[in-house]
Amino acid sequence: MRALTCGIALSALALAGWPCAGSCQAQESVPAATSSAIANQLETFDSSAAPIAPRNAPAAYSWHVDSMPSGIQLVTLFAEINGPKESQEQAERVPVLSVMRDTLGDSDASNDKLTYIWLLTYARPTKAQRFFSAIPFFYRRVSAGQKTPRAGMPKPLVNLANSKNRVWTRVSGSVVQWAAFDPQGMPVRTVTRAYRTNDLNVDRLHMEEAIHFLRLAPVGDGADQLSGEQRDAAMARLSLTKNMLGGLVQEEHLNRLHDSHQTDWEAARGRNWELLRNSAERAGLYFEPLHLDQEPEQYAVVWFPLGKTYEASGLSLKKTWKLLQVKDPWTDPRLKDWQGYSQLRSFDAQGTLLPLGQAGVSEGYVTPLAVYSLTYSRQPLLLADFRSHMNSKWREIFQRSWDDLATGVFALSHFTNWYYYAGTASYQFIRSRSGSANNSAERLDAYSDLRSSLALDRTLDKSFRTELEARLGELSINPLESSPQREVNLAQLQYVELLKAANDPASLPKRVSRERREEMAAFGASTGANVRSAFAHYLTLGIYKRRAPETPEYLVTLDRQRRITASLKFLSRVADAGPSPEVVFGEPQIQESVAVLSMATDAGTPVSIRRRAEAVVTRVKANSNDDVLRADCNRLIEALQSGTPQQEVAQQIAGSAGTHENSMPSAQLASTPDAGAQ
Amino acid sequence: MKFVSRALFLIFLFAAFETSTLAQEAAPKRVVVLKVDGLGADLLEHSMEATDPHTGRKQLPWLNRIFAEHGSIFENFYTRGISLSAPSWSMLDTGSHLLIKGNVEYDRYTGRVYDYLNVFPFYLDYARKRKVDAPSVEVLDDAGVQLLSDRFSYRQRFRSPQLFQRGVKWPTLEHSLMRRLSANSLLLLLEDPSGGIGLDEGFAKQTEAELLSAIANPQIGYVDLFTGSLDHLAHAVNDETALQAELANLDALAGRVWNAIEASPLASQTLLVLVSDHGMNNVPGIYSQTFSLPDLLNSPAGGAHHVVTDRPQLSPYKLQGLNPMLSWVNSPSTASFYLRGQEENYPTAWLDMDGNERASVSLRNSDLNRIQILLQQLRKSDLSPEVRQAANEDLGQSLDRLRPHWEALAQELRKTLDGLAVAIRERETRMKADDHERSANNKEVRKESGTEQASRRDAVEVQEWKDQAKRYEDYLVRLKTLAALHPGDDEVLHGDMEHLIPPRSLGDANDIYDLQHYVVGPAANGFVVDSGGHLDEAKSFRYVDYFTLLASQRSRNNPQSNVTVQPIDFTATSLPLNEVTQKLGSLPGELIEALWLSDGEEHQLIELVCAIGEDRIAIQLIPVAQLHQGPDRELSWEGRDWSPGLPLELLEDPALDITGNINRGEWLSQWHTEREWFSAVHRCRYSNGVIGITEEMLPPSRAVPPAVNLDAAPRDFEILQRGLVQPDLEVFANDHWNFNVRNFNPGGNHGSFLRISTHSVWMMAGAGIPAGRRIEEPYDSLDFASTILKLLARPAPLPERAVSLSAP
Repeated sequence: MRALTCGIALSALALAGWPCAGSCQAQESVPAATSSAIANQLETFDSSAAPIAPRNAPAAYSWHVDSMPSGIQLVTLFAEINGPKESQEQAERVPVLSVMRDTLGDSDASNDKLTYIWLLTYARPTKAQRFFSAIPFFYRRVSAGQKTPRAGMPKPLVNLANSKNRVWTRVSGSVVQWAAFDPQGMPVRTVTRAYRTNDLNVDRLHMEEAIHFLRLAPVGDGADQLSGEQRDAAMARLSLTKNMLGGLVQEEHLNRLHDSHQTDWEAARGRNWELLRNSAERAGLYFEPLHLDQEPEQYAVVWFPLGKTYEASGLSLKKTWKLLQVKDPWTDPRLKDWQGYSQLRSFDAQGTLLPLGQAGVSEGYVTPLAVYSLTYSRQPLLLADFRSHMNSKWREIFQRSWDDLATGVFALSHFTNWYYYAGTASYQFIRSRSGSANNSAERLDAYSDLRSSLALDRTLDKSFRTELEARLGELSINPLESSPQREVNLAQLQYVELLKAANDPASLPKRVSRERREEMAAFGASTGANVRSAFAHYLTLGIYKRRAPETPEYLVTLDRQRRITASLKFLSRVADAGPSPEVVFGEPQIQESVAVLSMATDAGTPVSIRRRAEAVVTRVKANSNDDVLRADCNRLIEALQSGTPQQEVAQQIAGSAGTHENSMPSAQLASTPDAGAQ
Repeated sequence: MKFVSRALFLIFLFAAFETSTLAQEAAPKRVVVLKVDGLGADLLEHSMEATDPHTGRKQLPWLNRIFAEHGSIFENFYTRGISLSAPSWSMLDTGSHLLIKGNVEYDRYTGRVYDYLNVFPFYLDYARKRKVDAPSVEVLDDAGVQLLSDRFSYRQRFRSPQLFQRGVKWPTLEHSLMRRLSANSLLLLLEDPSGGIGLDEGFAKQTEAELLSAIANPQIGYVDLFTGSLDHLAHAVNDETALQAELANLDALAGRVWNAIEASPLASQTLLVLVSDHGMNNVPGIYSQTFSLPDLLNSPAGGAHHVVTDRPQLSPYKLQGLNPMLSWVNSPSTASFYLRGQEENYPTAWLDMDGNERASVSLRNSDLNRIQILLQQLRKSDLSPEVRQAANEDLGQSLDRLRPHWEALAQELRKTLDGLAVAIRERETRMKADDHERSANNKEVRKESGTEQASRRDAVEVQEWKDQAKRYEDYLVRLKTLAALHPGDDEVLHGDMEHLIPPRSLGDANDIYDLQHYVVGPAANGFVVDSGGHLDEAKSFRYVDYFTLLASQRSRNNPQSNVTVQPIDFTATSLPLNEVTQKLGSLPGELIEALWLSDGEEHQLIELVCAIGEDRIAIQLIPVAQLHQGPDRELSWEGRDWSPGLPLELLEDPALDITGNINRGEWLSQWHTEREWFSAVHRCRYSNGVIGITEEMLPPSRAVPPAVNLDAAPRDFEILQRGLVQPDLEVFANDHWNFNVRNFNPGGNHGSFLRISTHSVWMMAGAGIPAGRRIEEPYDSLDFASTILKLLARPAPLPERAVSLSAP
């Protein structure tokens, strides 16, 4: 009870603007706009004053590859921020995200594997941040975060190659919460739940940040960047990691899921764009998409024309204001004598608002009413209300404290108090149908996206950006969160630390070597063996890990295993394509995979893999109408069944592959690294 | 000997070649139709040409293999009429002229809603045994129009669920659900809840499984599969990757169907067809913007109407939007001039806003408005004696003017309803006889043969006739009461308004004069009496000229520089044939349509359609300005030379292909046959708009086929009903604008005559189809069904429209 009382007291202080050290730091980077500053600014907005035009190019993104002797590459995404021209600032290159590509030291992409993703703008929270995050009902950012990163390798955001670990960690965390902490009484329950929720939220915030950067990243087939398929799979994995069981989704589903998520994202963006434009039209306001980064517009601003009158006669605008989530500005007396931020803008003959800096037939002052995210799934999401500091912040605090009350104070459980959750779900459903944005996780994603975009943006009018950053900062209710500007500053330092770790044989290369041997040990292992290994791993609190021995030729074996996996993956797709798969994939491509599979499998290949290969190749053979391909499949099936030397069969298949146009020359097949390895 | 053996070998080779050619050209016995809603030809062509960088193969390998290599592709195939799903599929499915002109239609007299896209009420009524067919099919049945699949017996056809649906296959729904309740699906749902249960995916898989099983059955001669997933997606997004992924699914489906055909007993006698109903105005990077017609009509400038639509505006954000049975939604105006609070009884503007790039507007008859306003004013106790007298006089004059028309109308309606009553009795007698037979036969056998469903269909139709006849009788009673009204009557001051002015009814259609001087309310200061003691018409009422109003609309919020600020492109309405004939004098034949396309006072076209002989149609376009109709209903306009900026933008279109050494303006002013127009304009920005608009506005009496299997009375009744659903105005949106305010379609839309929206897909392969042929000659959806039926050696609805596929 004491913890709760303290928490509430601290929260009240925080909401009232209690000047703790952290908040002072935060204000360093996000100066609040004062009325006098805005008044000064207004004075400069006469018609002769230069408009605060977005004259800078948006941030450009590019990849940079650092190859390491240990057979890994760090593929790092850099954002090039163009500084304001007025200040003659040089363009600034910020490394935002690194992906580790395990190439096994060769240039062949077929055995490459993406593993870790580091979000370089993310640093571990300070002790103070951790302390405040454990205080129940304390909803405020307390610190700008670490000034310098800790020495050593930065903590990876996610391991793409082992997403299941994260699932079990999260599940076991929940189990411990339910079984160990919740029964200890309200103080322990509220404290642990507050910490856990903040931790999960900050994790999600950074997942979304990484997705945001990856979405902007260029892709191509060159070795100096990620391919489209790799980028999409990484985005899908990051997106799935936000769900408790998302890490269990198998790799072959990732690209399909990414396409599906991307389509939903595009659909939401388009619909929200139009919904907002239409609502602005109805309400006599001006809709303008915000161009940040290099992306398609994800945000929009709604402007209010100062000094104008409007009457939407004949229409009821109740629903429109509900969807816009702001109060009717036409009846707001504050706007009659507005002292806040405004811009002098031009209009064309039809009264359309022209882009900033473009001349028109008339001019007038407009003030931003609100900024919205267009990617929230149901409707445009209000992120900044320029007339009300508390509008969107209150929504966040109310929902969070309501949840904390239910789970922390009253200990309502989904199982025993299902009626409460059923009632809440029904209520939320009704509210969402009437235009409320109830999904707090998605709201967090939208907030994260705008936060990242703003941190790297120099295109917006500086005053407007400052104003927007201040509004957005109010949405920050997680003590574990750092200041976006601090994160950007930290990125360069973290990148240096990461490079150091990648070059230090005792650091990242050692970890990679261990994980490679784990991968080898798991190749073709039975379900029973996997369960036993996982059990032993958890029983020993992570000390035990099943690994293959570190023999001199282990990389050759791993290379072969990865090629088998890649070929099986491709041939499974071929088999799934149905009858006559050669129409879709082409005989040479299929034959090449059959040949690679043939060369890579031998008597030492685990039985389960051989059986799987046999099943897949049998399906390909059954579907195919191509005699040559069927004969190749037959040879491989027989070899897999009888144990014929694989090299010989591969030679035969490679020979037959030459009978098709555009097929891979047999000599080339024979000289693949696998063949050499044999 | 060597010579003989060589000669024999050559003869054998020749015979083998001939046999194979004959086999290829043999008349098909079975047709498999893949119906893809919203598949644009431009998108498909582009995608079929593209190469997949991963496989090095064509991006759509199956469609290329089946249709480009082994089949024939109609490169210039267009939707005839407006490019909307319900009308387009009605034409493709029947090969007959348009009877269904929109996605929703309203009967002006009775307020009956024909909601063609809403399947829920149909499924519910089917379960309650109150319906057998979808509303769209009922309309076609009532008009005696056969579906393509109806040309096959009940046992010979397999039809997937679609817009024009006969019956419901419950097992399909049941199995679809079971597919999605598998352990794998549920696990994936836990892992990625954002994906949802995926019922649509389960449904698609189940219908495909049923289709493939039907293909394997040699008894079945007609198989079709309808898919609407591409249309839904393309409305929502214009992202090329997403659209390509959906096309890849379609490609794989075509591959599976082709393989199933090849493995079936009728492989060599099967014709595979892929057809789409319309294109889609999808342009990556450009959002389609919505213009709200309900908002305009709600506003005082638009007449302050209470507006009826088939779905709620912004339905995803309203609880009301969850009600799948809704087909009548009222959006009241808070500024109504004389009907405030009376939106339930007197909604005065009914819209088909499902029209996307086109909307149909039906307004209450302007004279009914005037009479109701006069009655309301006369019931005011504070009216001065002079004004009262003038208002009474005006009411009397209005009633006197309208009475002869109403009486004639009542007589005609009476005659039609009497004829229908006879038809109902005859049908009931026949049904009783059928009942005897029914009880004698096994129900299962009847079910299998489709006779059970046919009997139910008869019963439903009779019930429908009775219900509708009753509603028309009610309307007739009110019409007679109104016709009998005189200014001095007690009814005027004290009668029940609903008894005099039919509620939920629009009355007769408005003519051009009405729409240019539409009465929307009394003047702000009430009635004004002129020096002669009469009502000053101009000062006593508020008027709206809808043509000017619509042409003057501009959007304040238009952030896309490549989209015009003018949301409305042009309006189209019919002109009275007698007045046009009188004004023009000599015509090359019987004038069957006179249309007016207006984009403001100075940019207008008159389109005339004449029947020459039995089956020839000639069309002429006349550029005009300032077209008006006077109170005496006389038309006037100013002739203009051809200039850029006219509706359909033909003069300035570089793709206009005219033959001979002739000036463009001169050619455009001449009479040409429909085929000549089609050849000249189909590549233009508005494609076959010149022809499409004539189909859309075709009078129902010409669209309903001659009575063959239909009695005269039901046919007359159907013509009456079809006539009553014709809107006052068709409104067409400019490029990248649409009218859908139910929910938004930013990805793309259709409905207009823009080529990207009308350019559709028709590809065929298999028995009787030449391989590798690309047909450049333009064809439209009226040619489709007749061609298929001719290929199958079955009677075609319009044999002259069947396309010959023999080598050019």
